[in-house]
Amino acid sequence: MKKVLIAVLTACALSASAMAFAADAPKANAKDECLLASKGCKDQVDSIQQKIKRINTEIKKGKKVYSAEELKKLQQKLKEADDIINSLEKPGNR
Amino acid sequence: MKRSNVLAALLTLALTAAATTPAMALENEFHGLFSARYINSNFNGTSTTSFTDGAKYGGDTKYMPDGKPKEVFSANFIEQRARLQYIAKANADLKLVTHFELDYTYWGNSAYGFNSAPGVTSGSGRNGGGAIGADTVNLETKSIYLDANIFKNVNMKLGMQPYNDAFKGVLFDADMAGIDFSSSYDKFTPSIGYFRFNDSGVAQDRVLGHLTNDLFLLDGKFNVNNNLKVGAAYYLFRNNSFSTNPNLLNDTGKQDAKISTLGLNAEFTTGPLTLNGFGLFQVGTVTARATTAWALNAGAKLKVGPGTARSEFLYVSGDNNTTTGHSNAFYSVFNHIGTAEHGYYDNEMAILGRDKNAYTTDNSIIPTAGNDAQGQIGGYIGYDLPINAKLTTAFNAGFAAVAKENNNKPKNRFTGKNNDSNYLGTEINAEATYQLLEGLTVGTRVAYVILGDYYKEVASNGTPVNPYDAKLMFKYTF
Repeated sequence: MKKVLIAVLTACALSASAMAFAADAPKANAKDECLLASKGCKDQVDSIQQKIKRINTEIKKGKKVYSAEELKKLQQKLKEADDIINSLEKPGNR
Repeated sequence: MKRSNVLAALLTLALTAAATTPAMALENEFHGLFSARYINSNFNGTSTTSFTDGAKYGGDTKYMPDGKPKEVFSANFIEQRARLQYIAKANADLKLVTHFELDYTYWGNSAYGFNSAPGVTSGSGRNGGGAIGADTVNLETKSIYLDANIFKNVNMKLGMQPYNDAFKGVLFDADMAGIDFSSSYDKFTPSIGYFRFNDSGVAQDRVLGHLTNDLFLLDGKFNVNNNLKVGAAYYLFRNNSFSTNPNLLNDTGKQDAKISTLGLNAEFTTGPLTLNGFGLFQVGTVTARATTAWALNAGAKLKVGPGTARSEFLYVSGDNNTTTGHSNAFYSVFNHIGTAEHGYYDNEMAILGRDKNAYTTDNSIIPTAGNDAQGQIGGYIGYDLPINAKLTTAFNAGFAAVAKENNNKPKNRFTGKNNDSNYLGTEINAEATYQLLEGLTVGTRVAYVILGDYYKEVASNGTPVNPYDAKLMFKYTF
């Protein structure tokens, strides 16, 4: 019983990991753009410049898409992104 | 099945789930900066700066040509900096921010764990490891803090965090440990905060929290309308610690400062014109001296032709006496060599004022707002000229003097006394930045200062030659 349970759990664990890795694999006959050009990787995250572009794009959609409250949140996100750049580029010997 | 085996099985399942289940939904942000710059200068990285006065790096605060040869070899060196920032976001209201830094003061400085200080051949330390072999522990932690919206409209930042004043950095702009609450009510944005700069209890009386250097602050901003923003702030500086004297060079000891600072600021925009400025008034005691001090600033930006014209004016009060009597010396955090945790960068100077492109080698003629209790008077003009989407340029000129002369003024080698003139010098500089790839730029900035008679005959063999500085910089941010 014990061995069976451990085997089942191990199988579950391995299959979960395998699924996670499988997501990165390209479909048959398709190029792996992640390997080839560092594009479309599963765990790819935005650079700070890409993030600012995305936020600005959404803010431009304006009240047709977002409520006033949501637009305020996007403005706050833009300020946070600007703060990150300022923090990274802050000059000085400290 | 034994109980221990069941527990082991459950643990395996839990760990597997934690490692593979995206339902944890933690948003990971990873950002950073890398920059390397070639510096050619008879100013930075030479003995005309505080490089020779105990500073570890290529000079880390002040232009000090007095008593040194009037002409020095030009320095040629390459400086490197990397910053890495990881932000763990649990949700829109809660995140942990961490920020690290790895500097080489200059390529070739030390290796195998040696410190970056000249002559030091043991121990690891910040900014070292730039020599062949590398292998030096030089990771610096800049900030680690929690950023949480704990109630509707109330944000809390707790921990070691970057924080700056509302007055263009003339008071403080640093990483500091503390807690800050800010709110937003329609057009009004209030903040309240407390920060601990130093606690010297361990070295003094073995009581923590007793002999400290602290800041308490209240800040408010109000958008009157789309064109006008006004703000007010109150800062209480209480320094009762073993730290640096804000008014004297190279003086470290037990301090006693209680300074209240009240400031007003405003920004007005109409069409192509933006006007801004502030006024600061300080009252209190600094090392048992009654002190009243003040600073005034005015700035303007105007879109003219293809670019933007800029102007800045800054006056900071000073005092003739550095030791006794009532004082008008301005208090900032701090005015001492190597501890200038503030900076006025809006004047866009590279030698007269702190250079926005300076890293570990960070010298200027006016390095601090208080300027060794001499204060400052400066007028600055500039023009930003974008050439195309990838190339931008800027041109600047600045004119500066000390507000009051005192014992910190360098002495004329013939008279042994202060020169009559308080005029520090005139700077011209030009800058060009080109975007090579998204996030990667290459830029250059060249600056030259015609020294004023403040420095007349203060070198060991005459008047110091005019300082210049040229940088070629590669910078990648992501």
